[in-house]
Amino acid sequence: MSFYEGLLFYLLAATAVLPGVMILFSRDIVHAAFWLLASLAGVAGLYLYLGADFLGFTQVMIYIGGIMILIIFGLMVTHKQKISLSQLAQKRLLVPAVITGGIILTALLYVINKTTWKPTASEEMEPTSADIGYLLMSDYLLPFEIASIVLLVGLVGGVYIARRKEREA
Amino acid sequence: MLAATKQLDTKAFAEFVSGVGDSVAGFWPEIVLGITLCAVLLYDLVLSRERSKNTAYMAFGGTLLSLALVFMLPSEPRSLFSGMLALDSFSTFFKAVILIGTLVTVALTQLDKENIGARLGEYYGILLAAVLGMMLMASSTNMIMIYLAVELASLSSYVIVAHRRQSRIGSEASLKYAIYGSVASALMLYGISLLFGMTGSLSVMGLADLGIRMATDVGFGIAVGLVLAGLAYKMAAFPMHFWVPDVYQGAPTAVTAFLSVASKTAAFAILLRFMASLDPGSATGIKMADGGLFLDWTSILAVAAAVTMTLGNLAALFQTNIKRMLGYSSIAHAGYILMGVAALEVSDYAGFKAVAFYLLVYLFTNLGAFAVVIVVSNQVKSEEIEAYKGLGTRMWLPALLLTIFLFSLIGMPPTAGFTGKFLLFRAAIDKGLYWLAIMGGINTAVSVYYYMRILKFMYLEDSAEKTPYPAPCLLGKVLTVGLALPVLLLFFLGAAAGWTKNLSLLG
Amino acid sequence: MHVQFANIVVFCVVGALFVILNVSVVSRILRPTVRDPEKYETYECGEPAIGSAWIRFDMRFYTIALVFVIFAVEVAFMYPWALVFKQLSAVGPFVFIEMVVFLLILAVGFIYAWAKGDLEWVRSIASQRGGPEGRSGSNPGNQTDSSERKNAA
Repeated sequence: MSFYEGLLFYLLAATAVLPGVMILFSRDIVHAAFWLLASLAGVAGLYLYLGADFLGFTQVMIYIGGIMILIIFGLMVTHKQKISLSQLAQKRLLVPAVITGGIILTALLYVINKTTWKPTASEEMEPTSADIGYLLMSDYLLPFEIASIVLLVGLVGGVYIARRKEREA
Repeated sequence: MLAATKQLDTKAFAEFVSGVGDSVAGFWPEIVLGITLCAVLLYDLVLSRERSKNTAYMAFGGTLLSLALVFMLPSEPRSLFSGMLALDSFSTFFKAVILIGTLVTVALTQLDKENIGARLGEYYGILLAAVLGMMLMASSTNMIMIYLAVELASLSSYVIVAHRRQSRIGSEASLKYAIYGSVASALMLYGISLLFGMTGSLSVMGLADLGIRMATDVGFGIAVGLVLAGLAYKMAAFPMHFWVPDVYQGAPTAVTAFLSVASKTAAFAILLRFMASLDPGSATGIKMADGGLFLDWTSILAVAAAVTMTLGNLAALFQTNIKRMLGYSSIAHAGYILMGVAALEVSDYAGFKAVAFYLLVYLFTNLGAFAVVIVVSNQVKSEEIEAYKGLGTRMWLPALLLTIFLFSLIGMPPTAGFTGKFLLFRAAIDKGLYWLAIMGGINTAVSVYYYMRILKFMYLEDSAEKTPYPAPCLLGKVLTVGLALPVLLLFFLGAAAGWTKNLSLLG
Repeated sequence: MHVQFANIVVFCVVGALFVILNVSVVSRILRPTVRDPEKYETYECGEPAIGSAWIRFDMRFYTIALVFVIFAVEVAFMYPWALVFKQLSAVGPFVFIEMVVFLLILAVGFIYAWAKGDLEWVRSIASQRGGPEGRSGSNPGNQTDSSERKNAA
């Protein structure tokens, strides 16, 4: 890994992780949602860095473009007043939270330490989108078409339930 | 520039295109269902309110056509769409079971119309999507396909569970179902991605070699365990059973009936295919680092079976709502069926065939029980067990038929439930799982109590009112009697019919 | 090795710097400093804002967002297809047909949402009353009708 590649990686990683920390420390749930957006953008950058261009573009298009809007709209339609996250956090949960977090951290550190990491040779990475397109059109033709039915059910079902709730309200 | 300049293998693609016709020939039942579901959704848009029943006829017709096409499928086993699906007698059998369940569900929906509402375009469209997902579950051999099929079936189920109008309990049930369901599907997806990471292949058929090669790998055990957990959710088996009572009670009764048979059948179909590929007969399972066997799959499934049936039966003892009780009974039955899965390969796949047969029996029995629940609640306007007091004299036919269905759920002769349970127990004993068979026996004895309690209410207790209810409508009579007949007939013909004797898997 | 996406990185960095510099540095230097309470209003020369911006929004926003997300996912499928379309369509129209089937299935959903009026922003009084989706279940008159018919049968 050359110096600039390393620099790029750590920049992208910081873009993914630092906003993640900010989510934890935001007092306002909408601010947290916007920090999540920045974090997702950093992850998209990491995907591109690893040569997974399809994944990167999908991340930008669906997560940053779509899911984030859904989250923010979800906040807008469900709550009547400003939500303060500090009110939601409860003191009595502090001890169990620290214990659970500690256990997970220990387990992760243990696994990271035990694993023998094999760095792959820095080979030329090809963009994957065209290969994915080829597979979708040939071997994975059936999943491709079934995916459209899954989307259809999501659309019709979501619209249907939302409409019903609206009438009830 | 981006990848546009990359050279693709157009020759291989031309070959693939010329082979697609063959795959499509084995896929007509699903295609018909897909077209019907789109047609129902579109037709509903232009339909006047007076003729809204037409969507039910369309859904029924499409399912019937699909069922006919299933019986006409070419019989030689082969794989479709480059290994995505298997066309074999196993998948054909399960597709037929699911489609018969759907036909009955459509009729039950019409019977339960007062509760469900009259305008049912979306309902039938999404119901058919769920059926399509379940049929794909019965035949998938690729893990991406399995995941998509499970997801299609689940998403559709969440929507139809919430269908009941102005019903808070229905919305709550749907929300619980969706939240737990997404956890289960995430677990399964994680398991699949681990398996893919270990093999670089998504085919289910390749698992057998892997199981042996990965002899010392704890990761493999965890990956398979995660996939099984995702399937357990659809089967309503321990440890993913907790959604059942709330969803069964909150959903419209026709949907409850559909979920309790079709969803369970499809999930067991995948489980059978998955476990048969894993070859539980050889000593695979979660192994320790030194290669010693820590837990083999047979024991894991057997323990899950024992816990599932015990939990279901114990909880069913204290229920006052009949749908909730049948929900717990459905958990218990998942346990009995898992017993057959644990003894899958014993004596030329007797366990395997016992499971298939039991699912067929359970289809008729449970749909019948729910049909009676609908018929009764149309008159009595209640789903509480208390309301069944004195029903033996006030509605003699539904009471008699419910007796038959409950006998079959207990597993008493002369009903098919006995044959089915007998086959399952024999498979477990042949496998040497004596303790499991004894557990099953104790559980059956426990279950007698809560099934019989309903009979006691119907025949031995009197209600204040004595006048008979008006006879159920024609559809109700035809449905309940029509479902009771196979429950009786399969007992007399069950062993001879041998439909499940010749089931075989591709690969 | 990452040369392919280097232009994207440069673009992102330049874009981010442009915004950050303009908003926080350049504007601070160039702008006049007026400490007037008017300046702190939401709309400096419009209506004074009343109440909180935190009201419960209409469910329709959610429906629109949902439709948007579904079609964003659809585009994600179209992108790799578009990359291979030129080469594979040399084999025949099969690639085209595959995408047409995919789009037709989704079009059913779109037509459904459109025809049922879920995308209409201002619903007419007529659709509020009759409703594209008949509500016989909620109509007590109709319900007794159907149960009477059932009893007669």
